[in-house]
Amino acid sequence: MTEITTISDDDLLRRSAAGDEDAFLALYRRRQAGIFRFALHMSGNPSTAEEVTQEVFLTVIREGGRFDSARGSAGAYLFGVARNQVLKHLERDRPYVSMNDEESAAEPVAVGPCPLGDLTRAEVIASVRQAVLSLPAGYREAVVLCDLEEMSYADAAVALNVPIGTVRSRLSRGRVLLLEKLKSAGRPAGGFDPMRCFA
Amino acid sequence: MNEHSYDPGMEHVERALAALREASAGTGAPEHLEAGLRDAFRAHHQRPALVKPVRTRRYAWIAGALAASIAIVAAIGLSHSPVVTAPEPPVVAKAAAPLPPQPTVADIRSAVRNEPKSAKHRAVRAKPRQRPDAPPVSAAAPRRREVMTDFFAIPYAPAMTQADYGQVIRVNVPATSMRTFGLPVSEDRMFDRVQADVLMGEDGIARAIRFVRQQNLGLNYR
Repeated sequence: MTEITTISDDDLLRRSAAGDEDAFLALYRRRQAGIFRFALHMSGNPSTAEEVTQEVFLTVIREGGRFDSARGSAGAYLFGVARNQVLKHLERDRPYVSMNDEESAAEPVAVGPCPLGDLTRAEVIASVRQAVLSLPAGYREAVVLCDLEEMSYADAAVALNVPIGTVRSRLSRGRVLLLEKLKSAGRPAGGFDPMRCFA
Repeated sequence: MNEHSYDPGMEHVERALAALREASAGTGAPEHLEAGLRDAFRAHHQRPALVKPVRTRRYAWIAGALAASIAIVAAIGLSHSPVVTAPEPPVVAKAAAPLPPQPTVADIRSAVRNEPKSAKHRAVRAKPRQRPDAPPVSAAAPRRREVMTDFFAIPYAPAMTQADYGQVIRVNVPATSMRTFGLPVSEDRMFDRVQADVLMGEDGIARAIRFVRQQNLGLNYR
């Protein structure tokens, strides 16, 4: 019998649509973190990320049979559903003031053997996270999928429902904007350097 | 892995994104989400099995409403005299006395299928009875002509053989019951009461229902 961990996402999705609970759970465990992170980087809100993740897998439950492997991989399909859900949330939550800065500030900073280095690193990460969040959605989703989730251009193109060339151009433009934002925030991009730790 | 033209100016951006990627690596959905989705998965794929209980509950509600109506009719019938022309007697307590000859299911079927509309009613209705202390019906009382639908089988009721005895009783039911059987009811009549004849089996379970309209009162269902 085939080990379920070795089955491709496409097959898991098909088996899940046919009512195989183990396949569904295997697909969920394999893909939930990426979907959650994508939604988190896009929205900056853990609650939204949780809702999006839930909606994505509820869609798999209800409409998983509509997945067509000829149009792209299961991963691209899942991120495509996630992207649509995220855009809905962004549209819906637009009138509300974001509390992201305060939430980020409240996050505990892990203290390692090099406290100063950890602190600097946490600050850098918070700055980069904020810079990513401030990108226009079209550039942000390209940066998150390709740079943070390391998705191929082809899969990203399917997930974003645009040609590959558009993914490339959005990614390039998104990186330039990101650099500008990091510079304007007064922090050199990737400015954390372990050599700065004097402890 | 994606290939893209390397720009020295982008090195810092890539390092920053790599740091964010590394910091987010352990992030995932809360654990409780998996349990909820598993339940949703099971509920979705067990849906065909759930259809029957849901519909059964729906018809059980109708049966309950009918039973309540029967009880109300019986209570009213015992405490008050019929006002004008109650076409049907209240429910007969079957356990108290032996049943008078009742139409069988076959009788009802043949009556419904073969006889003209005006005769259908007479064929299946028990003879109207009046309580001894009831006042005589006024000669000036308006005559009513009843128009009725065919009998509709009540879904999920136990099967009734042709040898079984049935009893037809007249009850008042909510107009919404008509919609249950596909009959049109206007929105402003939804909460009206309508008359219906219910075919009860020997076990006291309703098997079929038809709706009755008193035509001389206009188009309203009363």
